[in-house]
Amino acid sequence: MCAPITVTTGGAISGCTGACQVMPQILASLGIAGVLLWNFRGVIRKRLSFKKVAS
Amino acid sequence: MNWLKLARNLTLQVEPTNACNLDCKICMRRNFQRPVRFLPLDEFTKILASGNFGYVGLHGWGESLLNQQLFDMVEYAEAKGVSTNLTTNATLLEDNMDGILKSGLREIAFGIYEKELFTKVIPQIERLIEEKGRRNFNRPKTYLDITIYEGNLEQITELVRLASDMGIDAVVLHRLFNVYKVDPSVKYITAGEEQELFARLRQLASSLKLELYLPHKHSYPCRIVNRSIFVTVEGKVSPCTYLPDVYLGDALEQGVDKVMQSRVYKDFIKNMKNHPICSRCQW
Repeated sequence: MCAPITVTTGGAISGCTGACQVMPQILASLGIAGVLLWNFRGVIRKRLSFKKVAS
Repeated sequence: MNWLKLARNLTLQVEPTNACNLDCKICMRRNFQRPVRFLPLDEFTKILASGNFGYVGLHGWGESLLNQQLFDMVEYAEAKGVSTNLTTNATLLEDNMDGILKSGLREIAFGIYEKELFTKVIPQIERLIEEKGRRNFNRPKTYLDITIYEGNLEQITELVRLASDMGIDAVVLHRLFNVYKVDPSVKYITAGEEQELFARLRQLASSLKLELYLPHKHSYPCRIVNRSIFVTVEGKVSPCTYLPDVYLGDALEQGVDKVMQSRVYKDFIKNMKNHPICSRCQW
């Protein structure tokens, strides 16, 4: 026969040809953003509290 | 959330049998001298467990529905969270209706290359779609999988229209693999003909509101190798169905993951562009 249908459709089961095909990449980006926020939480908190005082 | 599971988009293609009830002129099975075999369920489970796969395609160089344990394989894979699909010549759908609908099979493709053969299996495909509707099932998703070649160029538009009328969910087109030149009458279409055909089909699919998948531009490493790995009915690992003699390892003894991590697999990917078969493949 031939190559699996998922090779052609990119695993687009149930008609998914849009964002769900790049879901792993989207979730990975969100993960990286989360780690960055956690890493710089001190700086972010300081900035936010500074703004509060200033206003 | 299972992050590893989200990253699994590799398809394991396993050959349930190399027996076939047809002898198609475009099929390179005609070239093979392999003894007929049916993959047993225990070997399938071992192969499936030897890698991290998102999908399993249950077909190879034979008619999968001839394997009596096929739907046990589908049920097993689905229970393990691996999506299943298969391509069939659609001649045995009637006898396998219950298995196709009850096993949890996600996708089924009807592989055809000429209208005459397709006309013979239309009643069985229609019965399957009707039965699926009657039972209110949304699985399996149905595809018409057409191999494009010179001999059916004038029939393809009609076949796509027919698929839509029958209620088939999507149409997939792929280029002929003719490197071994199985039948001298089977030829590729030209690039110009292909361009014209694709433009016509895009328009038709849009007017019919039909899901259509056209072949991509060929690349190295190609789509097949990038997205799948093939295991023959004997348990041999090959990078592609069209490379039946390129065995990179044994799925039952080494496991698929181990083979894919091996130097021999990596070297194959690296040198694919210069491979005597791959360099001539248009798929």
